[in-house]
Amino acid sequence: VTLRIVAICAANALMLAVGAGLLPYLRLATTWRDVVRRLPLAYAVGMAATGIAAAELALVGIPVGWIVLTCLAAVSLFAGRHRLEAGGPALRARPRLRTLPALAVLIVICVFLGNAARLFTVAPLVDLDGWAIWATRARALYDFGHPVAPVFTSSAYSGLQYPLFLPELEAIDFRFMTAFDGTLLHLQLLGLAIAFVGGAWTLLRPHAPSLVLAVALLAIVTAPAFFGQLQTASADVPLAMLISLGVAALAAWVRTPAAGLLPAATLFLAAGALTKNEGEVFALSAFVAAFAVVGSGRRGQVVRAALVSAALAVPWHIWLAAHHVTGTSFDLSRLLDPGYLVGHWHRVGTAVNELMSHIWTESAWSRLPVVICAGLVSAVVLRRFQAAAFASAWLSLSFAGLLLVYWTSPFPLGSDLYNSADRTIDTLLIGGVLLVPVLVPFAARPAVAVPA
Amino acid sequence: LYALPTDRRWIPSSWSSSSARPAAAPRGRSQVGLLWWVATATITTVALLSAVSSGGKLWRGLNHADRVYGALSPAERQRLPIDNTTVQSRVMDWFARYVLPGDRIYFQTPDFVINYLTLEQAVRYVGRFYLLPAVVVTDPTQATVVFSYAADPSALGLSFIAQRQLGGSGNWVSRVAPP
Repeated sequence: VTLRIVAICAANALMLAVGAGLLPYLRLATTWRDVVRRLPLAYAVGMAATGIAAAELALVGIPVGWIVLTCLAAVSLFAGRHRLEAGGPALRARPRLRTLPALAVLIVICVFLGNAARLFTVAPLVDLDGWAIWATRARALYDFGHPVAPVFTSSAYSGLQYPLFLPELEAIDFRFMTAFDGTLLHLQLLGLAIAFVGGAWTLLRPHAPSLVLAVALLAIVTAPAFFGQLQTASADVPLAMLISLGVAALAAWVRTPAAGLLPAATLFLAAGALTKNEGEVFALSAFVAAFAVVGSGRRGQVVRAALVSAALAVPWHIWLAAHHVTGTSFDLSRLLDPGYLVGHWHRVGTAVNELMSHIWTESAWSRLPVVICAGLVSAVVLRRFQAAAFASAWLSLSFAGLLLVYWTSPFPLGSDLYNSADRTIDTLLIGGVLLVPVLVPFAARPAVAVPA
Repeated sequence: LYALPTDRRWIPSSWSSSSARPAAAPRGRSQVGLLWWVATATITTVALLSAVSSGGKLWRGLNHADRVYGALSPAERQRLPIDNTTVQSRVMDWFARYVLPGDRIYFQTPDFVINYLTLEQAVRYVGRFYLLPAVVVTDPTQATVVFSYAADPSALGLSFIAQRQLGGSGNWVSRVAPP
């Protein structure tokens, strides 16, 4: 077991190296000092980029193991180093005293992550979706090296339409361990949680009050459903973490077009779109919301970012079409059938009630909806109208997207909601809370220009 | 308590040199500053309340699950998915001994419901996960091996090159062809 844990750590260290090399390309670092200071973000970037690359390479029959991942890391670092040679000045350090309370909150988060790590090294696969869909796909990718028939094409298997980001990430670990391990795969999910916290802190800290950011992360991590669902090895919380990073980065970019925010948003939203089909809905909602609220001069950048994300998701859809795999959990063509829509209107009302009931379930998500409401109201009171409009638009469009899926689903509504409604809302809650620090950036301080 | 903007063109007055005096704050700026403090304090309080109200329960839940799962052996952890679907893990372990890589398995099961799944669904769910790299097919004529779980393989009308029965039970493994 210890050797297998070391193997997983080695795989994740290489993902970190991939991310470190990518930071300069994404304009998230200009010097080595920046790279070192932003290593938590490099881990998140590396995991997202590795997962995307592995998912794409699997479609052409190239499994990412020791050799490929080492090559990816080496190429990324070499290319990144080349970029850094022309780098600019290092970022200025801030007074530590001001961030001490936030750092104390981060330490509490680390304690929770450490406690979860103890559990995740012994947790078996228990939840049906966790092993019957996600672990089965990860194990098949490890066994065969690519999406093979009938596991990824036949109706004898579940979740055929789900993309390969998460199973490939887990399959990389199995290749490093040279064995399938249904227990230790939870450590990769914990790695995603660590990357989420570290990435969010490093990426958003320059754009949000540090204490608000830290307590928002604490509220997310201590919501019972966060680790509860992560432990099931389903993709819903991983999807929520990736999309949330992307949406928060996009919200920060909407407010202030700092370098690196839009590339980071594009990367994380693409990773989310390659994790689950709902991810495409959430990512599209984010780009539409950004397009609507930014000025006309920046809309071209939003469109280009959306096209890059879409381009990364297209190969999976081509593969599905080439193997005659059709979506099974929704049928959007029904949206063009007015008769069907009118006849099934009752599904919308029922879905709204059920989703809202899960969102406000305190035993699962504590008071996260209240945090989101407080953030939105504060943004309006503080006249941060653009950021508030973006957040409201993303939340509304994403919620509407979920309703469309339930409206057009071929499954009986009762069982459909019973099996999924408690998890499809994860992204709305985690993403909504991570938006809050970006909504209330900084007090209007008396300021002076820096002498030249 | 809060981090400051990174925009290099501006620095807070408290950081500026004594020669650079802050511009006079326009009317309303202090009001906005006060509102900001109220807003962020409210958000911080609500988020902390959320964390405090659920953190203890989460902590105890993590510890409890750690104790329960930590007491299991690796083999028990591996079998837990099977046991949770009420498919007998000893039967699946026995069947796994006769499955080869590349096999196409057909599951023959009687039609009845266990909990929220039919027996066929439960056995198929377990088999397609537990027996990888062998794969599951839905048509018995495409199978290289048939697993009959509480069922009679002769009812399929296939010819088998080898058969084994688990004790005197109704569980059979019947090989149709090599993988």
